Amino acid sequence: MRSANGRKFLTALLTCGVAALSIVPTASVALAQEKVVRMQKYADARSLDPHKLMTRSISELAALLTDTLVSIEDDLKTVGHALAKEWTVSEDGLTYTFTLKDNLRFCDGKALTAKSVVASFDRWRAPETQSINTVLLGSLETVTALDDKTVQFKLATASDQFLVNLASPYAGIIDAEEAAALGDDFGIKHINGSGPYCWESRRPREITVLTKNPHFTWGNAVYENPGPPAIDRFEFVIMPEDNARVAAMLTGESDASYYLPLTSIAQFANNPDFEIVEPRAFGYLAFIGTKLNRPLMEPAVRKAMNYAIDREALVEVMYAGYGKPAASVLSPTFEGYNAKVEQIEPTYDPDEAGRILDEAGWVMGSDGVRVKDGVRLAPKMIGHNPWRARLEAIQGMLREVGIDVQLDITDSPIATSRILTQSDYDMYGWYASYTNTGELMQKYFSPGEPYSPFSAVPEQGAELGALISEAAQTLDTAKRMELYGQAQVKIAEQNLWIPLVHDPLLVVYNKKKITGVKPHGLYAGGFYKGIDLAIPE
Amino acid sequence: MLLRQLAYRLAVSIPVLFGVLTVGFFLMVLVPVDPAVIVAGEAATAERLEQIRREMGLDRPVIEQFIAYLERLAHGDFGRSLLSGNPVLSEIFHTLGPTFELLIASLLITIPIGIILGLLAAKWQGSPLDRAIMTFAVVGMSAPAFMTGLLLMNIVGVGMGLLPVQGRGGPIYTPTGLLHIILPAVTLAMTLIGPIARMTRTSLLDVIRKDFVRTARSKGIGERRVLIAHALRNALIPTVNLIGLQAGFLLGSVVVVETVFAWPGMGRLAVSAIASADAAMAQGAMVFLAVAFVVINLLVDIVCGILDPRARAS
Repeated sequence: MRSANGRKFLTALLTCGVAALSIVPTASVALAQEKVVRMQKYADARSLDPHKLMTRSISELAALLTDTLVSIEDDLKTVGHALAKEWTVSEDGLTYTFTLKDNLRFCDGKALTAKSVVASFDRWRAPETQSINTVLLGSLETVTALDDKTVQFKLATASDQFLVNLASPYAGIIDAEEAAALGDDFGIKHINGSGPYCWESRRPREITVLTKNPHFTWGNAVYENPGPPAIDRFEFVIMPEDNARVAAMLTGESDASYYLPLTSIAQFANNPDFEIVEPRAFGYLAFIGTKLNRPLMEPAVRKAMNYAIDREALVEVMYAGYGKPAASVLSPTFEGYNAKVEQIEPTYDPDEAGRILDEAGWVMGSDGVRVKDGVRLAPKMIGHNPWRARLEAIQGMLREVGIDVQLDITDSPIATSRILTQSDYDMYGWYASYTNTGELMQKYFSPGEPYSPFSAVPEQGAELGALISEAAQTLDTAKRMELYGQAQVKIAEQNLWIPLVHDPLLVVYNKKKITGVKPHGLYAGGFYKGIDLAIPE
Repeated sequence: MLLRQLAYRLAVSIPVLFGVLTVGFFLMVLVPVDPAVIVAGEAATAERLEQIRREMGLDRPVIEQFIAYLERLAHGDFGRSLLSGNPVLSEIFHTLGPTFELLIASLLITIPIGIILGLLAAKWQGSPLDRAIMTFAVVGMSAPAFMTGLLLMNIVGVGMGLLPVQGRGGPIYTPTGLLHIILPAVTLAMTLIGPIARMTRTSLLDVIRKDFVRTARSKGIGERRVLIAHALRNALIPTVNLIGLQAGFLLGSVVVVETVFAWPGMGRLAVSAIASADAAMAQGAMVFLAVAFVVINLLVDIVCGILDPRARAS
């Protein structure tokens, strides 16, 4: 009797199991009917408030939640209409006047007028916002609503980047009244934005859900669909583990990702369900930064290190062949790239590296490490965990020529904090994210900037700084790019950095599940506004 | 007697918890990271960083910061997460449910399977079945949870396409919730099935040689009833003790499993907080994990006391 009951129980259990498993496809079908796109994210942001911080995890969502006065193509230089249908720039480059489109609305249906734009910029610039992004506004003095549809910006000095920066997700127009009401919780609890998607919910470190903005009908120059978006929900799921992200893509739990490990890309390239696309321009340089105030970072050592690193091998092994060996700090896909740098920047030649060090008086010691005046050539390099393997590879290459790099690798926030606030290191392995030539030059090479080689000795960088500053204020594009070209030559001649690899931005998506993917490299946001995204019937 | 024992255990756990929060606090202080940079971002100016340090009390001596931290804790204020800006307690409470769910699900898998395997191995001691079960037990115990998790993810999830591999599909009583919990729960269970099976087998082999079992057999009671009703009940006491101890250690494996399967529980929260140097959140998570460990051990004491009068007497 008991045995019969046991069999019945087992049969019931098996039946339940089979029934449960049969729900999987049903659930998928249900999701497809809801028109949901599920994205992966590597890490979460502290807040999605676009006006406060500058990180990729904010920009990718802020671009969807808020719209900007102008849009930018994936070449990162062609500016087009967005909230503004047209604009004029005064001859001296100090006054920008924008005319807004009709029927603009925030997510909650409230009208978006010139006053809303002014309020948003005022809130961004207000000291109590404690923004670190206002650097994007350059020397902006006033923002004025001339009427309901006209906004005027006045600058103190001309800037080559002002218009482009207005397309950045950080310049997104938000509902300033809501921001005032929510205070510090704005961006954490809610954002009433102007973008193609609206805030539905957010569980920190787990998921952020956006829904389509039904009021968004003004489109922009980058997309065909004027709006509203064709998908109902946009989910961003946080998955810190590399293998979990790959598995979730393969099982169909995620529809798209630009956070997949490069070593996994080949299996997606060979899978007919997936498509891999890249934007036309993407500024993301892996580099070794130097600190010129440190005695070991003398010119000969910097030059020798540039010769000693095999960038081709790094790309082949560490990037699974998907990056581009960097012959310059600036990617060749950007306007103003100076090809002359390729003749100046050292290419892999360990013998030449050894010769330079010999000539500079660094004598090879019995332990394979060079010494000069009793000092070992053992520079300290800071790095972060995601780069451990590549930094160890570089350490090995430099050891071959007698440079004994002392790696100090920690988690990313710790490494960031140390690079910015401490001075007990000679080099750091890091990345430079930029959207145009000017930004790269100003953010990373202007003396005094925290990542600049001259940060502790700004007087040494005065000449380069003056060149970059002059370029930034030059309105004539050809002349400006020529000046930036000269700056690139100076950077290469002095071996200020060791450029390693231009990273790719590979957007992988399941083409059976979504269409209309237009990859975009603006602040590595991946999908930019995502207005053309759709789910095939 | 049992109440006195519990009171003693509770009293002992107070210094344990104080130790955890002291060590947790000073560990996060020792981490060479500036919390102001995490709050303000890497592009913040020096003035802004200085202002944040003042607001957070980081410009005060460490001992003063520690005393202020204890005062806040005494008022139930665990601070705010540096990463999300939300109150630490609120974020921890959101993760308690999923972690508890995962632990229960894994124990529901572990306990019956572990005991049944131990029972079968003991009944057919020395047979190929016994050897196979013990081999399985050793492999399960030895394999790290992240490896088991990735293998299951790739074989069952990706290869066979049977189960979802990431996240929590909803509460466990919903169909998607149930499907999502299977792989992480099985991964977690694999670490514990082995020890339970081995302990049950050893204990059962010891008990079935006792006089009362022989007496039961001599009364003509069927072998299955002797084994299950008489021997197993007595053999289970050390197994229950082991389950209690291991359930505490399961909290360690939960950290790994939740990270691998993107399970939104307290283990993953702790890892994420530590990796992002979110001191307040990491300290809060450590305190809660310690509390969970203490509570589980108290519960084990209660269960053992109920099952075994000798435990009460001791």
